[in-house]
Amino acid sequence: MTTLGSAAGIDSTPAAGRTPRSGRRHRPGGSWWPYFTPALIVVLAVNGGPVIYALVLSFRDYNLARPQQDGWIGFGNYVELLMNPAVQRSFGTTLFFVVVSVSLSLVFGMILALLVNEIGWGKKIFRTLFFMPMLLAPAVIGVMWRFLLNDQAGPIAWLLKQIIPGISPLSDPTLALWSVTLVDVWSWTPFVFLVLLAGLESQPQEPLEAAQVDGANAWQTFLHVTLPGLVPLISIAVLFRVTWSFRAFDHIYTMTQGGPGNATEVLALTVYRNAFQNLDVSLASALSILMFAIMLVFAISVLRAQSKREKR
Amino acid sequence: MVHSITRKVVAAVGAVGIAAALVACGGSGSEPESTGEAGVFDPKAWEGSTVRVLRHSGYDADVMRSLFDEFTEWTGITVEMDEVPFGNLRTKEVTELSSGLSTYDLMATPDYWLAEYASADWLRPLDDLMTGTATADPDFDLEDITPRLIEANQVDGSTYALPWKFNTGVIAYRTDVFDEAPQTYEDWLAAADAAEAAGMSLIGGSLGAANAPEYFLDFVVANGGEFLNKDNTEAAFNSPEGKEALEFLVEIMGYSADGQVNRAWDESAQLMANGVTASDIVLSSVASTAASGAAEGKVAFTPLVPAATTSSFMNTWGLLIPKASQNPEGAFLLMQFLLNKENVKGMAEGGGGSVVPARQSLLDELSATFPSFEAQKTAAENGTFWPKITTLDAARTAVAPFVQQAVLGQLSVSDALAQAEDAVNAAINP
Repeated sequence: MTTLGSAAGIDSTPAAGRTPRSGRRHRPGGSWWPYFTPALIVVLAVNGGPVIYALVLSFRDYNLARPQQDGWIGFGNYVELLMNPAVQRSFGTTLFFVVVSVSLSLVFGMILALLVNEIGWGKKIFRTLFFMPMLLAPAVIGVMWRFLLNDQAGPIAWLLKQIIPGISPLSDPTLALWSVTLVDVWSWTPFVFLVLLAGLESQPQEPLEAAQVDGANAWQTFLHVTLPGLVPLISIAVLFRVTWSFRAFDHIYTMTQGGPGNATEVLALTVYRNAFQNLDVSLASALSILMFAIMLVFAISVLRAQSKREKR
Repeated sequence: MVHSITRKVVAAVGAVGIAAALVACGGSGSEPESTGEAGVFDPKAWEGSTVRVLRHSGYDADVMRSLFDEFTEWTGITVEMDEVPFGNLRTKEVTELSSGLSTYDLMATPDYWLAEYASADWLRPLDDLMTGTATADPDFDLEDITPRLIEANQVDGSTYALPWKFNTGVIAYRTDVFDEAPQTYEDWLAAADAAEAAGMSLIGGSLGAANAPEYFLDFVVANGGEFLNKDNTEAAFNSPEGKEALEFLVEIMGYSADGQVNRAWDESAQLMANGVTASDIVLSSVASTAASGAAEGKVAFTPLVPAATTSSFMNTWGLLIPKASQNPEGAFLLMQFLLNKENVKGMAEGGGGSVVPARQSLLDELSATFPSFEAQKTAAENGTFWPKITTLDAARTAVAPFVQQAVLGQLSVSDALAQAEDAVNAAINP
């Protein structure tokens, strides 16, 4: 195998006095850090700075309306959050929202991708049409669906009432949660569709042809040939979809503001209420950090699993 | 191949994310403006400076904007104004004020946010500007602004804003359904059959999360109850008056048009205008909407029932100057200009009845033009201002889910009141 060192005519075997370090390559004649440091500084400043600031705030008792009460309270905000029934309920609502939204968008995105991949003409038109919801701002999506599902004037609400009299998509607590969840599915299914369609289009034809020669039916071919090849892309789609749905705010706020009751109060709304209604930025920061930590653990798990799969 | 695609997808999404972050981080700075010199009042003293205004959109915003050219001609001060929907105004103001940056010199705000803002030391008191010989326009008739409404804009004796309009809840009802203005709960409910016969719902109801607290608490104070105790240290609505009010609210919502727990004030007013509902509580800002369209000429207004001791909650809309403003004198000059009688009259007329002026003389003068003003005036005389506490928004918000759950039948009236009481107490005593 040709390595960077051997290609440059340098002996890549461990030299006397140098400790071999697995998997690390050194640029010949120089150190790596001058190349790495500027990027690291930018990444830390852009991403790390706000997170560190939020982390610091989360250990204080800082309310914008009562700045004189500011002080260090350690993990007080975190304890308060974990013991708070409203936050626990909000976490449960968020969990439902994320699981249902991501699952349905995966199923619908896969079906659409398989269908569009099979058609010989108009693929670009379908791709563009399905892409359109992603071009809309989430707040616009919320306003649009609030109107469509309005009990008095919404055409979709009217249609639903013809089928099930008395149904109220945004005023019934259970249906309201389903409504905001399905709108999230509608918004993000195109993303899953595009990712999976790209995967399908790039899959080699030989295994598919071999499966057909072996007599596999369409379902068996999908299950044993197509799907395994898409797993890396599904992982990426799930990673992004879970991250986006976990912090969903705009369309829920515009559609229901968390109501009726607390039916659609997801964690991001709780953060907003604490920060901008109660002005308790410390509590809001603590909840943001908790959400960040949950997503970080999730992202690392998915990426590690993906990495292991690639090594196999 | 798949790995390559994976990397491309990750890279593409990452690039979009970074681009979005960079766009979000971008913004325009503002430069300090000249503040002029003290002395005898001279409208040209701050000539060449700029005043930046932030307000809510709609109603009288266009009229206000149309006045800026005249102001610039009079003073030589340039005015720039940003508008945001009311639902985003608090977030925008808190973000701007807490940053300590001088992006805006004048902001429109309801008086119930002033205590929080003043407590955080974000506002510039207006008292010295109001009395300063160099800053107080001798032609500005401050006495004409209803004193109660000026007091509503004071915190701990300092004036932080001056009002140009006020909001209060009154009943709008169809004269072709109601024989006469309802005076009691029973009167109101008695019209249910007539409303049904006319193909209408008796009431709309604005019980969306943002509106439910005020809608419910209007009934409480109209029935002689209170939101908080006299010291503003505890919830006081879990009382016989509060219970009676919520029981009535739940009962009358049995006759409401579908979707009441997800409806805003303007949407309820629109239902009346569309002939869907026969009555509702309407705020000043949407009263004219309720009386328009299919309901035009068929709507009358009356203070809230039963109005035992007071009528409903009310609030003013005023203009304040942030502490970080680099041009407070210019901003105060603009404030006086916008709030003079002629210009407030223009905004009231331009608002088509949605702007109820804080000037007593105008309220009297325009009552004949706008049918809701007479009821608004009566309501305002007995109206209750929101408590001046720093946790008011949290306390109000805390009420909403329980009122909605009571209306939906998920909680009994007693349980809803008890849980709302606990939530409010937790909010005001963090």
